Amino acid sequence: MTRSLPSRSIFLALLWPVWERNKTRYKIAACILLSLASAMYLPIQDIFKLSIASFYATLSVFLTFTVVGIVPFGISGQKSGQPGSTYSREIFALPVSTREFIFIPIIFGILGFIVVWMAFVMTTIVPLQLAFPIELPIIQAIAAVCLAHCLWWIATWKRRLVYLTAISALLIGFVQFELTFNLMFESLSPFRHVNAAMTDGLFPRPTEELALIIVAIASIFTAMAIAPLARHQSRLFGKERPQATYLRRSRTPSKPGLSKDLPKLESAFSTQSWFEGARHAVLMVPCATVLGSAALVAFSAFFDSIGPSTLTFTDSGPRYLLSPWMPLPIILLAALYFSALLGGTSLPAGALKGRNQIKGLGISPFEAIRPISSSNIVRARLLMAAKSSGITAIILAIGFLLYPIDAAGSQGASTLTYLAAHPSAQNLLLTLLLIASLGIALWSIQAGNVLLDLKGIKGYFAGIVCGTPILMFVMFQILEGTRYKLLFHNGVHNTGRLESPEVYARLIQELTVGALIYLGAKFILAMNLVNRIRYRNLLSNRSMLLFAAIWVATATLLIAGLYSLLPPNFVSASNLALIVMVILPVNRIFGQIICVDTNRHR
Amino acid sequence: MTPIVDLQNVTRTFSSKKALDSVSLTLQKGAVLGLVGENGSGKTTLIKHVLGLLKPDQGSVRVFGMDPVADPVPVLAQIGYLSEEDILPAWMRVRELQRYMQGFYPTWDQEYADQLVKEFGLDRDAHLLGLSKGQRARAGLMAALAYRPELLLLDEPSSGLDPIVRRDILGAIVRTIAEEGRTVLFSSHLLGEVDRVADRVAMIKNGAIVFCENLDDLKETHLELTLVFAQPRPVPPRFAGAIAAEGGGKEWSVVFKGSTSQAESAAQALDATVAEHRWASLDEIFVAYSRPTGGIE
Repeated sequence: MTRSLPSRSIFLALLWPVWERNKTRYKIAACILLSLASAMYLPIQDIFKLSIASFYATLSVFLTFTVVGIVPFGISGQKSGQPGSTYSREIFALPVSTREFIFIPIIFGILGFIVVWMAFVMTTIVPLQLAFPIELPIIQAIAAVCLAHCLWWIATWKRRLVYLTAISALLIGFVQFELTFNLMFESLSPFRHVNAAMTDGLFPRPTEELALIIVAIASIFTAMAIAPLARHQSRLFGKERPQATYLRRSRTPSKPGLSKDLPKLESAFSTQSWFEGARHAVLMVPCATVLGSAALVAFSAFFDSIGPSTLTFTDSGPRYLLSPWMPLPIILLAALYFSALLGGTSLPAGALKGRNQIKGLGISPFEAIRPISSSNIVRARLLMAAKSSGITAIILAIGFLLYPIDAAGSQGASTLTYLAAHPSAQNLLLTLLLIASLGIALWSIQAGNVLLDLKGIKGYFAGIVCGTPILMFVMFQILEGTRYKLLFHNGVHNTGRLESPEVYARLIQELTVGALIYLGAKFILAMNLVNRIRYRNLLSNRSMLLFAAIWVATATLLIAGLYSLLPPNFVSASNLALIVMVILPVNRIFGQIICVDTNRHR
Repeated sequence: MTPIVDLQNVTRTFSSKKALDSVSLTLQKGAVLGLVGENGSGKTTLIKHVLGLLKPDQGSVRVFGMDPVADPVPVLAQIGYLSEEDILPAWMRVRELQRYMQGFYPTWDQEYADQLVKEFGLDRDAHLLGLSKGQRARAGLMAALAYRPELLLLDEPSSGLDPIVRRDILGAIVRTIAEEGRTVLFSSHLLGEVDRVADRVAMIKNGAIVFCENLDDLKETHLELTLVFAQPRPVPPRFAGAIAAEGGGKEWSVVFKGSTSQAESAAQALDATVAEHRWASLDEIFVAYSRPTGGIE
């Protein structure tokens, strides 16, 4: 006798394939959560618990995006049913109403977030007895998931709906921000009892220089980790530029032969550069902003700290004016940030993923079979990355210059107004250096991400996901010696200060030794890669010399520029040179050439 | 004269599976070789070796006298490639595809490209994503032909397409061959297409070349025999030249390699008579060689 299969509800029927595809990931996430939860309840000192919490805080970023992102957005199969929608054909064929298609994934996403968030609450907030409104992130997640779902997954896409959704997103974000931080609607805020702690906790006014540099480094590491995550999401989407292609298609003239001929491209390199630019044109700026926003926070915090001795905006340094309109630029930035994450290609130079990709390769067969050298493919991608980084740096610098500050005697004025009122060669150079440094930092991050893409090996993504929390964990372990705590903990308990000069000096010494070791390893690896490139004849000697010359010139300019503009005794010239040489990419570039060649000829 | 494609004892293994097993194949200028074989037999792997996308574990691959792995740029500049997989970027418009291609290939002939676009009924402003599968295949063919490559590699180009698109694609290929004398390596399941286009046929099975012969010679050396035996046979007949047999009892159909007289002699030796004989079709030859034991135990 055969047993009939149990009938499933639509809810379960939609969930089941998602579970089947991602169960390993969920199981790993659950194991991590359980192990961390166990660790948090062990009878150990609070300081160790904080270290564990820092590890989990980083990991939870990945877990949240994984759990929340997969469920509502991963329902799609490899091929979408229609242009403008990433629902798979199989799903369209199911006897399920549109309403269920729309709402069930949203419910999945919210439930997924609640699971991760509650795990975070149980493992961190409860044991550490932090004052944090548990319900607030859930409310925000509900709005975010609904909006994101509407923005990216609506099957019938109308331009008016795009504008409406974008305006709604901004308005909802604005209201949420206001309700949270009590700026305009204080009496309405359900969280006013925790507002003071929240504001201090989330927007600390750090003053210690080293602490701020560490924040900057941490932000860059986080940005580095988020970028591959976003690309991973793009693989889950299984489709490039979900809505953009459809929107562009809607403008296609109905009659053939009316198009204007495009100018002819002269060389394989210019063609490949055009290709890299064209395919990422729509998302280029917002995607690069993903990386830029973290760096902006770091840089603005950095400026905040060095204000008294350089910009001298006020006696206590420039301060952001907490005006009622302050949330708008933040929400706009957040919207760009979120859109870019959902867009799935946080990086303009990112490799094409999806159905056009050779199995396991980081480059598409469409590109792989073109008569262009591997080094020129890499050059084209890095050029595209440089363009997007430059544009992003300029956008962010403009945002920074227009940002309202509470300068002495000029409340509500922007940084630009203040600079215009106090013109000096130093201020001009500092501004230019800000843009250049931001651009180079962003490009450096992108160079690493291009390398990750071109490797075309999933393990590297997993490595980044696992490696970043470990790196953060180690970093916080080191910082623990200086009594530096997590930012939120700093805000709540107000304990994060570098108090001991001895510890400070020791930390600088240890970091210097670490950086020297890293730099040595970096150049040894570079020599190895150069040998491999020469052996495979992938780059001419002239090109290598040119690269070396550009690298040395950039490093020299950065070191000289930063040293001349930074406050005296802020950092030694040798340490500055060390930092610049550590950050500027060498192996990430040479590695790309090897990877492209290896991937093309397997 | 240097052959356009020259594979010598090429072996390639993926994990424990031998995708290519000591394959040797030569293609002279102007030759049109049809590559046939079952799914997973190694056709695409072989073509990828010619493109330089795969490196052989053993043996050598020379294309235009060069190693496609060591010198990919000059080799790929002379190759037109069309595969059953849709590899075109969906976001591109047809005219952008033309623009992209002409930057790589100095021999790009815009007039010819426009002529193909018109002939195939493509809209130059249409996104590739919005085109039907057949239209995308036509766009892919346009992109592969318009720079008049010396070597055309077609990896099941018309697989899964409707007869009209297949006719268009085949027509363009035939015209290219007839008018320009290009060298073509053409893999297909559709043996009718191979029959129409190729002048040589190679069959690949489990990564090894089973035969590589002139198409006419192949057809003229393979017979479809109907053998009638005096007594019913429980197993298929087995004799020199018999490639595959099917049937039962007294009557068996046999695909035989050899001449009519050789077939009759062989039948007599088995106490059978040749009731009927005719040239085997390419389909029958392909099926006969594809069977694990040719149906003969």
